Amino acid sequence: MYELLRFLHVLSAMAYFLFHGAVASVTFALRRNPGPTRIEALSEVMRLAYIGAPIAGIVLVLTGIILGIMGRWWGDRWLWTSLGLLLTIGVLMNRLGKPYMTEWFARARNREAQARMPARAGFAGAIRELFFHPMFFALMGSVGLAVVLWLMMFKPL
Amino acid sequence: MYTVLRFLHVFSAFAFFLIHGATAAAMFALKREREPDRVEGLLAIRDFATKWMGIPLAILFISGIVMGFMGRWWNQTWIWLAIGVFLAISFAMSGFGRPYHDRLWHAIDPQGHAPPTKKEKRRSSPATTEEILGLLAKGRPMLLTVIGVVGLGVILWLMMFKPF
Repeated sequence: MYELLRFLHVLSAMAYFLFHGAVASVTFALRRNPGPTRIEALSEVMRLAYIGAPIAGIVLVLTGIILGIMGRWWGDRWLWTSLGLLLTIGVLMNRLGKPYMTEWFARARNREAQARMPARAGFAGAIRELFFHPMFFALMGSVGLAVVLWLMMFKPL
Repeated sequence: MYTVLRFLHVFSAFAFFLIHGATAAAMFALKREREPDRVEGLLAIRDFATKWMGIPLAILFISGIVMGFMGRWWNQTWIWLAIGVFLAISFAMSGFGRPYHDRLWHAIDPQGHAPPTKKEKRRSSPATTEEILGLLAKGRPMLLTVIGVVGLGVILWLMMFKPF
């Protein structure tokens, strides 16, 4: 039973990344000035990704919880560390990713507004540009995933 | 060392699916698309993802081969079956997916993109809206998804349970 759940856990993680990848690609595509017609296509891709990702995410979390109970891992620190990390990544992605999407979709839909939009100068502008970039999301997600995977596979704590 | 390679193998698999997801979503969106102007945007997403997919796939493959030697799995049936299933999925994906995308690109931009096969005549001008809609309807995203998901399930089962 434990092995079967572990199988489901890995399979649902792969399915989750499959769906999430569509969202990730849209964040990059938005930077390449897609224009008003292409932006509707990107919006459709996002919509499709959002249908499947939550289902895979729920299966992933549920199997993870049950595996934690069956394996008696809830007293181990590695599980709590990886959960904390997942939550941190989730909150950061949400707090930074959502405004990013809203802004860039609005920019692409309205070229005039894009031209009028003033770029923030100075240190604040540079910081915003750094954290408000798909490469930052990709880096945060990849490093976070690697650490969570390392915690789960090596159980060092 | 073996555990580090296993970590790399799983991580590269996740990275591969993350990038491949864009292609899958674009394929579904193409099937539903009725506005030829948007098709180019969806095809561009697929091209972008395809460009980067090779890196995690190479790491996945190399780490798998090395692990096969380290774990002395090469004389077991499950590893050969898994490779066979993987190759079958790849052929199916290339057979159904790639010509569909190449044909659409060629229909939209005949100067910039060649037809999918040498047997097909090169267009001199972009296809009409009706032709593009006809080509869009020929996409089989659900078939490819079923092949991919079932195949992945079988490979994962073979790797995790090593039944043969």
